[in-house]
Amino acid sequence: MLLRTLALVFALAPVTALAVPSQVNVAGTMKWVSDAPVEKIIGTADGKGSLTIDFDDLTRISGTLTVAVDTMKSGNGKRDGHLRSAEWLDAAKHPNITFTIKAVKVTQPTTGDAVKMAVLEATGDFTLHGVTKPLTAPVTLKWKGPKVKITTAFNISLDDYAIEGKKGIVGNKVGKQIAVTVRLKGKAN
Amino acid sequence: MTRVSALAAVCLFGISSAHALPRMSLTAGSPCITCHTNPAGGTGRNELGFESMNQVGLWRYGDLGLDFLDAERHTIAGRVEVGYDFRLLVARLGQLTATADESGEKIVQVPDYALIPMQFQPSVAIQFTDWLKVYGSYTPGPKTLSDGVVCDNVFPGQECFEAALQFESPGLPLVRMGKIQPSIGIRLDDHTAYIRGDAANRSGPIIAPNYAEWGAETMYHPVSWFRVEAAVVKPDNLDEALNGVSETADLGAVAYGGRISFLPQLEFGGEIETEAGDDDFDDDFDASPPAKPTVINTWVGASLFASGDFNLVTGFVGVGGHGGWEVRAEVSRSERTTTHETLNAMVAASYTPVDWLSLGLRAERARTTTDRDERRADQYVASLEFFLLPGVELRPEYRLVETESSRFGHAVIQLHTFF
Repeated sequence: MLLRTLALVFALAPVTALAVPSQVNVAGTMKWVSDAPVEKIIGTADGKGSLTIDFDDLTRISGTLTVAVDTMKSGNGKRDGHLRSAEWLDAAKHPNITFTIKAVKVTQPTTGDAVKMAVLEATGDFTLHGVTKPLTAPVTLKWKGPKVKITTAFNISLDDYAIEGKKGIVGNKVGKQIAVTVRLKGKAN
Repeated sequence: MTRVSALAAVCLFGISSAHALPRMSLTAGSPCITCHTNPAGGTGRNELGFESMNQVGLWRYGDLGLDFLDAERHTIAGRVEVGYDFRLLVARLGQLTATADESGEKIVQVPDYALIPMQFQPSVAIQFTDWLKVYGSYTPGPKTLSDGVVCDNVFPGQECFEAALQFESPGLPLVRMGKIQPSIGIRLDDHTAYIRGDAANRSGPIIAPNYAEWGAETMYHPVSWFRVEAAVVKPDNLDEALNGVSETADLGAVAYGGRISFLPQLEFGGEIETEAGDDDFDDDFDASPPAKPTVINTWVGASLFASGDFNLVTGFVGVGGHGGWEVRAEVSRSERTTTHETLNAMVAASYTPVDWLSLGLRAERARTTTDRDERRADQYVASLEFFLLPGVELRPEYRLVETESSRFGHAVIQLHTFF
């Protein structure tokens, strides 16, 4: 009887773990695209984050996602150097880009059986180049048991974050808006 | 005897010009104007170009305590950019000599290797207003210092200087006026390249390195994947190249040029999944983070340069990736008044595993058909570009040239410094 009870407890353990907010460490890729008339730049960076997710109440998601400026790559090491320089992102002073989630709205409730998916709208503080602004972004959350995938896409304006670059470059060779796409995955503890 | 002429063609070019590097554009996906003043590339870097240059080198000046050599100091008052391009070549200079021994057997003597000053090309660009820039460069020749010949061009049709007013404003077509090289195919500026040469006269290319004419060109680049250039020039140097020795082309008062380029960037992988499914939560979920997209830069285009009965048509294609690799091919065909048709092709590839080292391969074929005969020349080049310090490059090359009657291999090494 004792063995049966123990077996039942262990069998239900993962489900039980997801019934309360779970700590999820995620890691992945940020893609960023600058599309200006003279030049289109498609770059990537490494992202990571620590989230608290209540799979039964997704509006309670909280946490912070971080991208280290030093991991940003544009396909050209020389250009990456410019990107990190004081005239652009100033990685020495502002080494990280962060998004801290403050509120979540469910725009498409959870669907699916083995793999579940929900579409959310996350609002939070986006910090870039030392400037923090509110940002709302659509987020797709998919999970299967403890495995979690998160994707989001949004645009940011360089002007909003006091990124001026070299005179005459923004709007001509670098887009005024940067399209950002983030793909992360991790496992609930 | 034929071997003698082959060697002469390889070695007797005293002055070259700055090599435009299409590989930079194809691997980074950036047009030449991102780093160069001249939208067609070549000597004369803008501020971004100098800063880029400063980051390429096995060693940096700062590592050696030589910060005062830092290339960031090239700009004067934020408006004047100065630079130079200097090349020294170690190669066999001179002609093969052929003598017969007592039995009548031909003995060929190869010249020794020599250190050859190949080029010194200073350049300057002045930004007068946000929309007006003046730029220029000058290339002295072998007799400039010794005999005071200001314009001592080695090739017929070569120009010793390029100078232009450049009007550039975001959203509007760029216009440059002055002594300019119109956009023809992919600018290479390599005096050893056959793509715009003539197999029947390898010391007299159709379009010489540093070719330039008085005229104007406009470039319109409305979106990142499309660019078009149109030029009108006075073809004095083209006339010298085609008619300097004998009249072969009846040129008009002006020459017209046009180039159209498509530069789409292709992206593979890294797609966002928006549908639920169980195929993406597989067993290797923990193995790696989501894949990053692979970006392929492409360049497909064609150009036409024509005057009177002469025309030069070029088609080109190139692909390159962020991993530092690129492959490009170009075909060019020319006709003129007399029966003198050229059909040349080039395939080139390079791989840049680290910023300071690039490996290159190039194969070229040149065919010229005249009313007398058909001549051909093939060339295979393997090279290394080794950047010791920012602006200091060693470039060993091995070059194999084959004609219908000869085959000759030649190793050279070039020291290239630029600022």
